[in-house]
Amino acid sequence: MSLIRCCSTCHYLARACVIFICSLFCLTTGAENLVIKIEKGVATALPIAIVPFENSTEDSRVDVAEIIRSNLQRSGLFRSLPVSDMPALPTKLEDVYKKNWTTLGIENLVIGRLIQKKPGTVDLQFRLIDVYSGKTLLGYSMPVGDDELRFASHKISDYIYEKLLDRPGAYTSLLAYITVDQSSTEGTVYRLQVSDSDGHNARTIVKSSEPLLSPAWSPSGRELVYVSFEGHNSAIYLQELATGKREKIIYGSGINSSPSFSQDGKKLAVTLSRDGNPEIYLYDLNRKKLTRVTQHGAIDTEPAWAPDGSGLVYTSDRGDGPQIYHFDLRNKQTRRVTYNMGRYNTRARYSPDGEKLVLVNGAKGIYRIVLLDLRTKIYEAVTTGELDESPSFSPNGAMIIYATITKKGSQLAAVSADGFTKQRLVAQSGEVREPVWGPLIR
Amino acid sequence: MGQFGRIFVIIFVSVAVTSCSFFSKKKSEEVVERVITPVVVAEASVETMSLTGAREVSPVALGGRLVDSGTESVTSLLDIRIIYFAYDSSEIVGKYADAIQAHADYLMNNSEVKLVLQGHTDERGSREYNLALGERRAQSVQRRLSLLGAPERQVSVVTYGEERPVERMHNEAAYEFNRRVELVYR
Repeated sequence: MSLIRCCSTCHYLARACVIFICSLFCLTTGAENLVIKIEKGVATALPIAIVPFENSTEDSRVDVAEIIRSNLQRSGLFRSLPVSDMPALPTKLEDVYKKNWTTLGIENLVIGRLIQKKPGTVDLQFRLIDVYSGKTLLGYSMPVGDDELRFASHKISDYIYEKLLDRPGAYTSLLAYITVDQSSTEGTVYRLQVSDSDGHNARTIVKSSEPLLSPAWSPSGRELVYVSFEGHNSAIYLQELATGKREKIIYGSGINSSPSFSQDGKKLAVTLSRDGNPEIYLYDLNRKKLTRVTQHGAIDTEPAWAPDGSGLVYTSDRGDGPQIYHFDLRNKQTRRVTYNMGRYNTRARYSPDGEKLVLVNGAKGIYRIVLLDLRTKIYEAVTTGELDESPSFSPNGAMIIYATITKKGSQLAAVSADGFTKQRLVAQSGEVREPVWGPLIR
Repeated sequence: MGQFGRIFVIIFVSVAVTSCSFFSKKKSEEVVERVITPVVVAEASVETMSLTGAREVSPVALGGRLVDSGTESVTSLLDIRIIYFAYDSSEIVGKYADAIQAHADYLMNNSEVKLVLQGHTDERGSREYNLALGERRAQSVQRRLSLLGAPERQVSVVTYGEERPVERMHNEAAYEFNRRVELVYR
């Protein structure tokens, strides 16, 4: 896929190699897992070697090194050395010979061990080594439950990412998305699922024969809000992930949809049309009170909170087609955000630092994901379309996940925020849509 | 363990300290909390809204002119239950005028009958905006019915946006069939 930019620095990109990695995951929970394929990589990625960990435990189901290798490779910012290319497989610092790795251009090495401490608990040890200086940049020994090894692998990936790139990793964060399955005899089955950031460990949170849409994470990551048509009309539900407890919080005549959590977790911005046409409302979760925000005969929908809580962006077609507007919660002023960007701009979401918007632009009938810098007002298309939708930022702002309609139906894809690295997340069955990336786990 | 173990002790304290909480009991609870996620099954009610209207009231031939198309088949205007729309439009085209009049007459003459107008769109663009567009289309039909005499309390509106396509192909022909309002009697 080619990349369209306003100011191009693409020559280096043009020489980038195409990297394909297929990670196949076992079905662990009965829910289908997403398989992740890398489409393009960048030649400037950091070379790293994650040596297979020594494993003296009884259980070898979880290959910690492979998960870390896969995670880092997938970001497009690392180039993981394949195991078959490794000149040696050290698991202790004293077994590491600098020359083995420097000749391959490997700057960073990760080695480790799994030792059975007692039944059910594994001692997981790893080091991140700067090959050239010989220094240990990171080293941990952690007791981990047998069933926590996968999570621990993601945690280690976060540590390494953060140490080498000076930015938080998002490997321990979760994805939520909707799947639509038409293969069963029951008719169409809609599911709201949650998975690890690598697509593994998919769990069904809600299963319904009526449409589900617009999932959104609470800032704590403990709840999801979503829209369900099980009552033969749209209604907003709030569900606690750990317990499965859910509450129908907003319903009634007309549209009840498009929920978005405020950063402090106390309010939702929603779209309700009970007063005649779709308007933005704020809902106080504690006091269970609604406050109307927009007052206009046009469609006002798809609200999204700014990360600092100072305002909202939303979609309105009060002007020439649907465009993005901003409402300042402090001075109550409304202003249009998208100018000279064609007649169709919808579904805006803020980047975690609040400086950019990702949105769906439908100029000339091609629906693609566009990134708008709120300060410079420069925008660029990060996908080429033609039917892309639902963009969502990763919690560290590094990647954008979205849905794209292909010949096989709706599938998830991700692109790095600079547009250089693309990957596809392919569902094994049915269609996948509306991905939302959960918050950083801290 | 020896040297290896000793070196681990001389770890960068700052990194260890910031991540201490991960290895504490609190972390364990966190992990357990995340892993245990019971499946919730939300089954919709048995009565599903089918496109052909399983609970449709068969209209007795009240009101509405029979259209003589000049061929063997004669269509009752009340049988016209789907109104199609142009792209990005909620305007009702002229050819449906008579059919809508027929439905308005029917509702006026049968006060116990209720009509639900289901609004739909094609799949292009964002889902939530399409939910709103679907409603706009259904409201357009609702207003016309009202103008033609249908009692307001007998007509309601619901929107499915792009969520209930009749055609799942991704081309213009399919889009045409999906941009619609369906008249469903109860």
